[in-house]
Amino acid sequence: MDSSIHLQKNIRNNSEELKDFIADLHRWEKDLKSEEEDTSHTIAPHQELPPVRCKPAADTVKKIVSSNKRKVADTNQKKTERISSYDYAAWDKFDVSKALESDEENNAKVKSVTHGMDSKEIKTSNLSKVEKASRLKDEGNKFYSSGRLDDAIAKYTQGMALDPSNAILPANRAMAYIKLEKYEAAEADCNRCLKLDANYIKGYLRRGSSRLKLGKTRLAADDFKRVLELEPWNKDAKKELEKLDPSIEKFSSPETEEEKNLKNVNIGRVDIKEISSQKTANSVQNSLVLEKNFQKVSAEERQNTSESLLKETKKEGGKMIVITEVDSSQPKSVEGETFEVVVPVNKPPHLRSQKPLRKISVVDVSSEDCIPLALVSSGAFAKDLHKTQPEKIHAEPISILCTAKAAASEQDCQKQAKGSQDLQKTVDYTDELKKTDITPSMVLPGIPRTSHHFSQDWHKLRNCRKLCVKYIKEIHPSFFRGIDLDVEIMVDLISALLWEEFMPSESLTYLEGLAQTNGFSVNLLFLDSTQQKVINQLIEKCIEFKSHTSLFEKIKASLL
Amino acid sequence: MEKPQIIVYIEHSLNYTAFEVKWIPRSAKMVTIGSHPRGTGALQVFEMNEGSLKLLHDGERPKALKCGTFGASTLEDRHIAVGDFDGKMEIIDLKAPETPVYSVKAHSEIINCIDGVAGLDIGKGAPEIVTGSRDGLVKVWDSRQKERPVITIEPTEGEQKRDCWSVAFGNAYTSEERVLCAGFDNGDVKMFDLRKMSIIWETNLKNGVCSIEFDRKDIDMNKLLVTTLESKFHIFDLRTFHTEKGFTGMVEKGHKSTIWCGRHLPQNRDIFATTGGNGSILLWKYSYPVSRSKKLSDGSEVGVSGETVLLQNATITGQPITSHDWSQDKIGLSACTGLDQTLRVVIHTKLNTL
Repeated sequence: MDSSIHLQKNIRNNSEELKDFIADLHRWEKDLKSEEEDTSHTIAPHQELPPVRCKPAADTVKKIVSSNKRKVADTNQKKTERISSYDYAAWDKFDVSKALESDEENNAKVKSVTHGMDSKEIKTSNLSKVEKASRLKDEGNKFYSSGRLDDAIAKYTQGMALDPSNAILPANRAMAYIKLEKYEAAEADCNRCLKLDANYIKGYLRRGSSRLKLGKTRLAADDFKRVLELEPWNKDAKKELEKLDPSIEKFSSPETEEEKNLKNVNIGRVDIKEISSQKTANSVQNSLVLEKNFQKVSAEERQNTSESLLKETKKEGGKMIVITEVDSSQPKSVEGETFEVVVPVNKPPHLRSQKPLRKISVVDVSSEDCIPLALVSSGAFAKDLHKTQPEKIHAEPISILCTAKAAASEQDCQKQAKGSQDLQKTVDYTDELKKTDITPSMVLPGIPRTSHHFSQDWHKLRNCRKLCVKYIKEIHPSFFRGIDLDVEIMVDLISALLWEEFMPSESLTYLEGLAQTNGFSVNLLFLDSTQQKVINQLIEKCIEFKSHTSLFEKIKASLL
Repeated sequence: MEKPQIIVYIEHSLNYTAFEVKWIPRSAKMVTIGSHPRGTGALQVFEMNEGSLKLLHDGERPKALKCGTFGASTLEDRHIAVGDFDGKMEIIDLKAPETPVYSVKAHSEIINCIDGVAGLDIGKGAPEIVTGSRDGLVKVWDSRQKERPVITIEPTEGEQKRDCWSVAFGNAYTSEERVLCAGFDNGDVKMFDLRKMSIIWETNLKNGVCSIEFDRKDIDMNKLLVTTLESKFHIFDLRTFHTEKGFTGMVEKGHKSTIWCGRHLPQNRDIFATTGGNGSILLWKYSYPVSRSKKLSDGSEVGVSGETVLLQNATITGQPITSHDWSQDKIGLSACTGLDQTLRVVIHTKLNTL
């Protein structure tokens, strides 16, 4: 009996338990729903997630090795891949730069996949590079102190490649070069170092002493002065300076000299192309002032291009144009100048600047204006040149082209300077050009195949009547049946058909073709009165052909 | 008699075969995924509503869906990652289920199993999804990396590709540590260390492995529940690894048919439920031995397995129960689906007093 009572009690308990549970469940449901409504709009807080697994590309497939033996073999293989830290022989053979390269590649790969993590990744990779560079610097220092200068230089060079922003590495290399009596290289390194850190005293000291050895006493003195400016108690600089020139006052405005010096650093090795472009830029800037001189310069430049290299300094209208060829073997003739070594920038794509390219607005010079203008101005320029150096022009046709362009830009300057008056002039030039028909040089485009093709060609030719006539006559009238033209071009074409070059019968065949195009009747609806007049004129021209009166009437009807 | 009860609280018949049911975290809703008779995928969202289920969303996908997980999603997003019969893995935002937020052709054949880690505040490190497929490959995905898996695990050349039936993440207690376990149709169980990128343990259980689960993903791996065909399940103690004997495990029989899945109660990982091919749910409790490891004669240490006690047994249908999911938010609440095209919400009482 006990058991049955027990059972009953159990069942009752269970059902109560269940009831409680379900009531609790309902409460929970309600709570959860209201909570969810509250939090439904919360956005996940930004968490710093670890990067995507940096397995050098998921292509490296992990293999399942089922048998234990193979597993062991595999792990052994793994071990050989990683060099033990005590295995000095193996480390000696280990090619650090290669490993670094591959590391970099891997980084690049990973980065190309991980979006959004880029900046962070780059930071870490830079950091590691900086660390490596400083490690290389330490190694280099050790070599240096033990007298192995070449090895030290190699280490510093490696370090510089890894971390181009480190000012100490080039300074140290400069010291090594000084020891090796390679003063030019040392000077270049110092320049590089000082560009990175303009207040690095050792850099000035080393540059000063290397310049001293190179015989550039004034520049050397400037360097030492600069040191004293930064560190007035520096004994070395004082000593050197006293040795150098006791007459030089210790603080006789060294700054201006130095500043000039620093500025000139920027105008270092520039090749001639760059200079010429710089010149045109200059000419645009101070158009009128430079205008006269410019002709001279461009003429000279032409001369010099034939000599391939040039070396000159020109001061004109307060603007300095420096054209120099850098040759480290020759001592520089121009004082107040330093040269920087231009190191090729060799950045992997992922490290390159992410800034969008700057948009340079392109001034649209329509082709029809451009060509005649250049020709005209070249003509005008030729006249000018005839006065100065007549023989040059005939001798060098290529350079004429060049000057023509230069002159074109000059013309631009004039335009800018004198304003609309000049503009009118250039327009006159083009007008003149039309009258005198200098354009035979313009090539007649081939027979068009599409309406777009035709529109383009027409656009080019429309200013030259002769060519237009020639062009239209080359096209078979049936071509116009299948084309689709803008209203303007159509009217243009029709007005061209009015010219006396076209026989009435010819005009008629073209009109007939045009009238068969799909857009023709629609186009007619959009014509203004002057355009309608043109059509009417054409109809009048062809009215004698009685067989086509129906066509004319149809056109006239749609015009109304 | 403090035995827990297993009671079917809600029964809801479906017009498709649901392969998997998952509670949406922090809600009284669940997602069912499966296959329509015409071969398209079904994805439905239900909400519990005072003793009944309210259909919130009914979506159809081009291919039948096999498996899903919320494991790699944040609690705020609650995106479900699903694998379909075509080998495609997609991450779906349930607020806008029409267009997946991530989609990749992960495998050449059906994706049998999927698991996620580091989402839902469970586990540290990068959120990752693992998929196992009939094509024999196991791939790990990171939703931040499009199109390519972060890890692919495949059999060595010349070895037969086995159908991967189950995968599970574990050991994610730091951002670097992570372990992946995969079970295959031939009874192989392989454990990969994703930090070392190597196999750390493998064994063969003789029967196809239907489900694998670590008791917790976010701790130093503790124990592993593996259920197989032929009504067996294994529990391995993962705290002690013997270089030759591996992990120590124990076997238990139940259901008298295939054990489709074994799931630990999230609120108490010593209790777990198994579902069988005969339509029954068994509730078990694992008890640890006095000492979890012992010294062998040669001085090496080997793990000692504990024991399981059957707490309750309930047959709720005549068809296999293929999926079971505990609610993370309410102890004793679970949902399961079976081949009988029915979704059931099952409650287990007294679990908090055990």
